[in-house]
Amino acid sequence: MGGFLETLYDVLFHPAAALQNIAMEKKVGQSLGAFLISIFVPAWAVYFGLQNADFPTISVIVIFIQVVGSTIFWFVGAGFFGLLAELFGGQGTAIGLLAGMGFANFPRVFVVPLIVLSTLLPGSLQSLFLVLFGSILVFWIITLHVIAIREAYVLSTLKAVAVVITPVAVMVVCGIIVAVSLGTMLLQWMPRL
Amino acid sequence: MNGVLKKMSIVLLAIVVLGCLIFIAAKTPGLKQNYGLGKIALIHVDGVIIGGRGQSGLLSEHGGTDNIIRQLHDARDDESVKAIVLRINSPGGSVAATQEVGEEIQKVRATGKIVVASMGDIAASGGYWLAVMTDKIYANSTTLTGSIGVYMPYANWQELFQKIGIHQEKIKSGIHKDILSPDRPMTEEERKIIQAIVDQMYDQFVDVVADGRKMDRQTVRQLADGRIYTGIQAKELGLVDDLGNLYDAIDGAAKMAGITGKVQLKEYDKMNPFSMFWGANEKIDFSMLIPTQLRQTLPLTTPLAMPARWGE
Repeated sequence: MGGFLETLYDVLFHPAAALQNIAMEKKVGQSLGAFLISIFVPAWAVYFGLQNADFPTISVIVIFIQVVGSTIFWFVGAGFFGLLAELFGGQGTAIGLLAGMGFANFPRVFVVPLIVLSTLLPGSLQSLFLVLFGSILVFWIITLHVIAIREAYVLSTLKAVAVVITPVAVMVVCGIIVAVSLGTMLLQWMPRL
Repeated sequence: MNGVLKKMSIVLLAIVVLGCLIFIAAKTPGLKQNYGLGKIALIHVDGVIIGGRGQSGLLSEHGGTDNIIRQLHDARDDESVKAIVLRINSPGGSVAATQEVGEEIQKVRATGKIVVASMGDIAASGGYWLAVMTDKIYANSTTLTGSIGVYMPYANWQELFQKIGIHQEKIKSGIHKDILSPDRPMTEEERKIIQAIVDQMYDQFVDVVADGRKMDRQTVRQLADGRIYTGIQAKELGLVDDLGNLYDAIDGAAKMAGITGKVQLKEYDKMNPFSMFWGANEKIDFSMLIPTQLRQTLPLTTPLAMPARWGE
């Protein structure tokens, strides 16, 4: 598990051992490399996709938001998940988790072959194909994040899942509260017939 | 699996991903057209037409004709743009601001570029003024258009001011300096002055419509009593050319400009991320809701040098 390419291979095919090793050795440099690849390669595909879909003006903004958002999520997420993992009784370092989460994003690069494969399908099946395999890809990435948290903080799988789900659940509740408040406010302003 | 095989697997994966990226790039028509010719610029005229810069932020711009003029100017200078579709959704606005945009449309047409108007819900008064400056007008069958005319709003609040004890004193440099002042009734002489201004602006409007629609002035005057028309009525009267939606207008502009194949649109305005994410076409500015409501009802406190808006 020494080199960068070997580590990438192990993250894809032996994630538990690989992410444990990454967290222990705090491979932040390699993690940054994996993270940048996993951000910019799909961003390229998204850029061309938006160009194809007649949205050339927003492609730059979407990519900017994707790159900045992902980077912020990586750093802030590592700190936040680290804090939650400690609250759930885990022991480890945020730097180790940061390294693991950087590698956990790597399956994003498979978005590119997915897009290409979808173009070979009939138009009616393209969306279904992308939604189906896109969901599998998202599930894979989330699973790798769970494993990264579990291995970095020596938690049970159930607790690691709880660490990931807790902020999402809090955000969903906050989102519902904001949506209801905004909706009420807009209804008051809305002209009526 | 040994280290070499692991490395080879990842290298193979990298080659596949790279190949896919090249495939996607090669299939992108925009790549060629970005450096080629034959785009159509889409410029929106939304809401009340009023002069000035409007509101401009890092990622969004709205309101104010300076923004529309800048977009027209950019489209004129952009060699890849062969035609412009002006999407109008406006009840009208200030005469001078409308005229300014209209003149910029003329400058664009003078360069040989096609300008086509597509009317949305409403393209009345100043909105119609802009439409007649274009090469061809498309309207929906239920679009509200017309309203060819000018009015200058004036409210006399003298009695209310007296009731609440406001007595405004003025030191004037001339007898008409406080013309249209809301704290006193308008004099007959002032009414004549304002009427002359409104009439002159109306004449200019009639001229613009007559020139743009290739109609004689007398016919335009008969239609220009301020009333609004539906898209169907407007087509029957020759005020618009064709019935159709935005994409009919885009196709029409492409045909007139000799653009073949898939039309590539180009927009020059900054898009509000809020609108992008929520899929809204209108750019919502909550902070302007209250001032907009107040502007409709409260008197103007300074003399009007121009009509605040066109007829509704």
